[in-house]
Amino acid sequence: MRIQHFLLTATLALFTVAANAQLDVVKFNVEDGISDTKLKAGIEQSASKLLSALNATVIAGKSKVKLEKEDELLFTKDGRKCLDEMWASSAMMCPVSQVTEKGITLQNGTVQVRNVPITLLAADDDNCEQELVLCFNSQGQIDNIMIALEEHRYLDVINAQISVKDFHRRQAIIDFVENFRTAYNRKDIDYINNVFSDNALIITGKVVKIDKKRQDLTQQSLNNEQIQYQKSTKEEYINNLKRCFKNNSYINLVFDEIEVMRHPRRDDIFGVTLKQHWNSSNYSDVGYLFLMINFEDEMNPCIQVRTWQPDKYNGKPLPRDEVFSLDMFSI
Amino acid sequence: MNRLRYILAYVLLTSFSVLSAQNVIEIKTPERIARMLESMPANEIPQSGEFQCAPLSSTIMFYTESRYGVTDQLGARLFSDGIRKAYDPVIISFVERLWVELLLRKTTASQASLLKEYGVRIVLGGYPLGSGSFTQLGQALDVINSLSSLSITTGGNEIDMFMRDKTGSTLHIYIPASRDLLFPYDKKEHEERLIIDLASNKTAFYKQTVPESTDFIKTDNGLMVIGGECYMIDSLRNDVFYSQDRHILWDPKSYPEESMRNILMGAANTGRLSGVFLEIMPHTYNRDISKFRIQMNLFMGYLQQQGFRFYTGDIGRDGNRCQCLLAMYHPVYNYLHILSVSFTPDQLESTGEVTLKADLSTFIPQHNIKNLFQEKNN
Repeated sequence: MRIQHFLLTATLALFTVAANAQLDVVKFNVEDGISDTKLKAGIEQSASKLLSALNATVIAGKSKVKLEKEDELLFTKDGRKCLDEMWASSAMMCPVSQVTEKGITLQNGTVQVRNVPITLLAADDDNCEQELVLCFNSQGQIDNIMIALEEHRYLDVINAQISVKDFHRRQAIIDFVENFRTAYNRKDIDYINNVFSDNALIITGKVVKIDKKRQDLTQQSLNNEQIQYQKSTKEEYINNLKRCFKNNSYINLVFDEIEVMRHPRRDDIFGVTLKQHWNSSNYSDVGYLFLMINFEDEMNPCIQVRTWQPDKYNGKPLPRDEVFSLDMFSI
Repeated sequence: MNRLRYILAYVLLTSFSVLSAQNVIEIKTPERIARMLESMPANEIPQSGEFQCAPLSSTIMFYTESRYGVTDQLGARLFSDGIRKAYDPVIISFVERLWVELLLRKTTASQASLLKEYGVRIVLGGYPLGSGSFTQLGQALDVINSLSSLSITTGGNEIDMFMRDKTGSTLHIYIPASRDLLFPYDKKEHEERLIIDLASNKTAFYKQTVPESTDFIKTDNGLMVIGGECYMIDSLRNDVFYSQDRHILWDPKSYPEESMRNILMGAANTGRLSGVFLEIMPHTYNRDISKFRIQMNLFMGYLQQQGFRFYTGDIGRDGNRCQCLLAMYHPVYNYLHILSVSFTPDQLESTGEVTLKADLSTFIPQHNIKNLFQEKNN
């Protein structure tokens, strides 16, 4: 699979090269965060050269990133070593021709640039799209390169006109969600029972195989999985959960990619969509969890809707517009 | 292994005023540590101290540590005392605890599976565990055992522990900067320990945290600020307010919120804080912990000592009553405590003892937020 991915990417890259010989070139701009213009220019040059060199190396199919002699000076010794190490674990390329990011100046005068998109050719499909963190010294040389884990994009919202009261309320939602997660890990069925509204709407998606015999040839060659949704009552859900807690000595839920959406007219109704990683003694899965939370009673918020969807079917990630969010509910 | 031996302490909060007779916190060995202890193939594991466990490793020494009268750490002794002192002890302890969990797994594949669950990557010479030439966890131990350099990079969503040995081999351990992973406690267990630590804290707010700048910015209401950073939104900042003659502002009657925010930033005369108490309603897991009263100086001092960054903002007014927010962000472990304080200008002006009502939310994770501020369109 990984080799196929590599070959496909390399073929595409070569194909593209024929159409546009400059497509391997990436231009990097620093948008904000660095007042020293010389340092800013140095960082832009170093990052542009690096990303372009990655693409050129993939296209040439070389086993090591080769730079022009003068471009080697854009790296510190550690930075160059780090690049070689990363390349040794996976060839990588930058999928866009222009990157614009903010610089983050650290206390010691070094600068970090985050969110640089990268495709790791040796990684599996779930993990091949990553973001690099580039660390520069005070001369603008690349000193370290890291793959960022799921970067929370605070910088995107820094300038938004959001009140402290709204910030407080939304952090209270995150707090509630963290308590909710903790309850599963503690197998605290009473807590979970208490936070669900008695008439909560609970929907669980399940990937099912379509009977191929009933399909015509065209359909057979396309998708053969679909998601079926099942509705259950709070009582049914809690009973299932009790069985699950009993059968698993260990449960570790991890929540990621949390998005909080407020209702436009009901400021006590919030929707939370997140990626749930369920790890337990007997079973593990990944899916999207949606919770509609009523904060009318701030001390005792309750969940009115809970949905779960698998994160992929037909071998592809669940399309973003199919993931449940507050937008899909009429309230 | 008898689990009861790890359930020991009952700690009564006596160091500060407890407003409810029910505020007794029962401290147990963290569930994660208890589970590890149960899995250890060793007969005698001390509550605190070193021990050997040949079935796991004949060369590594294992250890436990206790706090609050219970075992709250189990690790493999990988690093010297010098390293433990020089680097973040939470990160070092995490790696040593992780090592035990990995050794408890029989195969490299199942070790890699645990790392995947935790989101941790151990990368030796560019290869993650289980790929390329990195086939056995013990190969990483060879680097640790002959370290020539070590660095730990924090401050983002991922911690990078980078080691190089005397032969030039490199080892990276990439760890998600998540409180839940780095500490052995879940949220409830951590909240209980926080309340106890606050109760026993003797360190007062010890210095002013005035931003290092002389670039005054004039505000709409005629004050001057030295602007610092904001946290997530523009209106939550580490600003310090000054009067027009560029003295640190203290004018509760005309500028109650700004005066309070100067207190919360440690910029106001901290001598005033000794008479100010907070009556805190903690919004903890399951609302298990009742209200408590603590000297503001000690509350702030504890959090300052723990390395939190402080940001303040105005929530609003209800008549004469003002409300300010203090967001305390830990840049390494990526979580927030939030305190909202309610007060009147008269209370701030009072020279005697005064008690301000406050609400406290704790250990709010920040590493896993993708978008906090979405709005529904219809």
